Amino acid sequence: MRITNSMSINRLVTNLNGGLNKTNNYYMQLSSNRRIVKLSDDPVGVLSSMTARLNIRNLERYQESVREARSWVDESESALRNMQEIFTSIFENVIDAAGTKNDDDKANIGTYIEKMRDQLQQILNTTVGDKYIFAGFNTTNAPFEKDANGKMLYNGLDLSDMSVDVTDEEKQVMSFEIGYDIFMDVTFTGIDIAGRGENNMFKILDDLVNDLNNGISNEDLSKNYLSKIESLRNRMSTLTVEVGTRTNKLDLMDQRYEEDAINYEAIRTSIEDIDQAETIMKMKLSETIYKQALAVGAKIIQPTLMDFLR
Amino acid sequence: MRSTFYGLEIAKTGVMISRNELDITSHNISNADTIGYTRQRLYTQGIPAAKNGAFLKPDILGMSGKGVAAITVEQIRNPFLDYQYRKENATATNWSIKDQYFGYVESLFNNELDDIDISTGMSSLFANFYSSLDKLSQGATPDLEIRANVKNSAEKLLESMQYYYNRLVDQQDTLDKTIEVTVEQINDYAKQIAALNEQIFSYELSGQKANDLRDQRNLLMDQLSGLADVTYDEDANGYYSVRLDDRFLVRHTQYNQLGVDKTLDNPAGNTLNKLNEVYWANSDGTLTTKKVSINDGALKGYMQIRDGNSEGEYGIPLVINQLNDLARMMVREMNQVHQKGWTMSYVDDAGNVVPSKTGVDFFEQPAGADVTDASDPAWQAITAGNISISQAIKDSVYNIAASDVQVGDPTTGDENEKKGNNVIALQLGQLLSRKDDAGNSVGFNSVYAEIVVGIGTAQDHFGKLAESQTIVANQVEEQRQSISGVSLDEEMTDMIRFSHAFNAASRMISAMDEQLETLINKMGRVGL
Repeated sequence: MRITNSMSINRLVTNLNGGLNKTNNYYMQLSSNRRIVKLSDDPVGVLSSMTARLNIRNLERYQESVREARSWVDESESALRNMQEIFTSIFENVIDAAGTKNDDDKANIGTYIEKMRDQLQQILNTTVGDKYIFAGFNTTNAPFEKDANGKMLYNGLDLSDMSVDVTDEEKQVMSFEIGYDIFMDVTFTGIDIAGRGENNMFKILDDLVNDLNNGISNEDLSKNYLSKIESLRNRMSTLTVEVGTRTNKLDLMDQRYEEDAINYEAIRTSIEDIDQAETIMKMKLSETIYKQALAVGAKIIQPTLMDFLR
Repeated sequence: MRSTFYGLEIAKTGVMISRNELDITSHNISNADTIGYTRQRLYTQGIPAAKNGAFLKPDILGMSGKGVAAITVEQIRNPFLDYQYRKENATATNWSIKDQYFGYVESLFNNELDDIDISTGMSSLFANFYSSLDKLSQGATPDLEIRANVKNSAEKLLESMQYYYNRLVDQQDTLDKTIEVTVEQINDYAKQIAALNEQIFSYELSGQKANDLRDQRNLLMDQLSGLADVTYDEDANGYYSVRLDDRFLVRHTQYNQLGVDKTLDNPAGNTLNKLNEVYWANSDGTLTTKKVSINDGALKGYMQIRDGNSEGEYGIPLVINQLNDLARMMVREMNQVHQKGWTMSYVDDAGNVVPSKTGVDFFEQPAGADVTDASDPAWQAITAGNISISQAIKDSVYNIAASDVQVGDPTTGDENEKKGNNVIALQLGQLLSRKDDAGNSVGFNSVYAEIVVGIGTAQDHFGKLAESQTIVANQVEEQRQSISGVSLDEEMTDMIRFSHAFNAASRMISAMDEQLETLINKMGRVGL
């Protein structure tokens, strides 16, 4: 092939440009520490990277949900434990009362149980931050309040009158999305804990206090109330166990998410980030090639036959 | 019988031709760097000894020829390589233009690849919107901030969509203007070529080749070939013509023109401006009704990016339409869920109680559009450019429906009865990363990711083809240079060769002179 001057110069320019492009590309990767700077650098990689990012972002949301759920569940658990202790104490007091002959003693115990009942009401109005946790969706108002007649209201409804079975919707169980399509009830509603209708917690305690003040007989006391109090205490412990399993589940989820986060992050970095050692090597190589092209350029541009003619 | 001065005549032709050749070598060297220059050679021929009818009849056997004569100054050029170069150049330019102009579209979406914590891409905005809905479902309270956050993050998402939409429409507009300019360029080339045709033709009537004018015309043709897929030929009479879309752009000294008219429906949407269509025009510039079909070159490249609306012809309208589809999907699916929900009741600015309502839109939807039917033509009214939050939610964030049961009235004291639940808030959130029965992601986020990846793939394709086609075109150009380019080494060698030939021919004259000296001055002097 006949080689002309413009040809060798054109080729030199093309090669120099190509070399510079490559080197520049490596500079860009090294300075940003990222392998994919433009979408077209690696479209398949972009897809994986976007999927990994989506997963990471979802995971962050789920982790936050789990943390939030955890605070609700923890608060519910301690509230339930407290209530369980209160019922144990009430149970012991009722047994004490059933063993005494003295009406004054019974009235004293009545006053004590009345205090216990107020404490239960307080516990049921527990908040996480500024949200009432046993109120269903009504998280901004204290759910358990006494009306002017001394009746206990739950979210404005007379607890003793709520005899109809309420639907799940109206029970308003607060549930969080803690994973893709995984929902968890983070607490119980006031109805779950206090019960409703004639046998609700507050009705039983109110009746008990009244009867104690009116000097109920020992036989009636044990016959009417011991089993009821016992069953309330059992309900608390059942619910506490239930909360415990939720705590376990949340712990497991949290652990899994932490592992997942590491995995997804590893996937993301492996796609998006450069292998420094490799890129530096490649950059050095392309730099060498570029310098070589420059050196060759200096050589091919200079000599012509003219240099050798007298 | 040989004439006395015959040898002197032969040597004279040698001297003159050598000078001529030296001149041409000098011309080549002077033009070594002229773009489009083709090296020239003097074609010479030995003059035979006189034959019948000649002024000197060779009557002696062994009579020498009469020296050398110039035939013509020829360009050393391979027309087939010209043809090949122009064909490859049209394709290479076409891909380079697509690479260059679609690169803008790509650059819009490159922010997806920014560091995950600072990325301003829509993926992160989707994530923010999702987490605002999460907060709404976890609070499900009338907290103003939580609701305002849902509205704000949705608005940010829409702003970003609108930004992309507007930038894409702008870029399409730029391309439309570029087409106008390119058509002007083609017209200009056509005029110049027609003018050169006239000069070349009249020059060559003398039998001489108009080499340097031809170089100019070839250069113009090389440039024109980058703009559109022109064909050309030169007939036996020396008439040169250039055709585009099988019609004459240039016919010898006549030329036609192209013109543009905004008559093309915009494939990115009927509400957008019409686009330039290229028509044939007379030489005075008046448009005819005949459209020009262009199949390659830069002009086609601009058109493809401006009009491309399918996977096979990836262009701006396809991206716009994909964003529009995403916008429609968002409006339809969000509203479908949101309309089932009940809003919070609230007290408005005028002090009136607005009770809990159902059937409220989250995004503004066109009148009469059916949320259960994605193919309802009414949805076409929504684009990524005009998608907006519904007026109800703009009026009050309490109109965000998080609950699927009616919510109580704050003034009548039954506020504690029903606060509503978080069922709708959860369902709205799920739309963003929904999966179908087969486990494939079909949420908004995934649809958007597909758009972005599609852009990356298209740009990758454009870039790679532009690169490889340019290499092919360069290779042909190199071959052309190999044949037509000036090699200084070669010219210097020629210079020495011709100088020596000149010297030798001059020496021949001296030799002849010596013979004549002998003949004239030294002969017949016997006895003097």
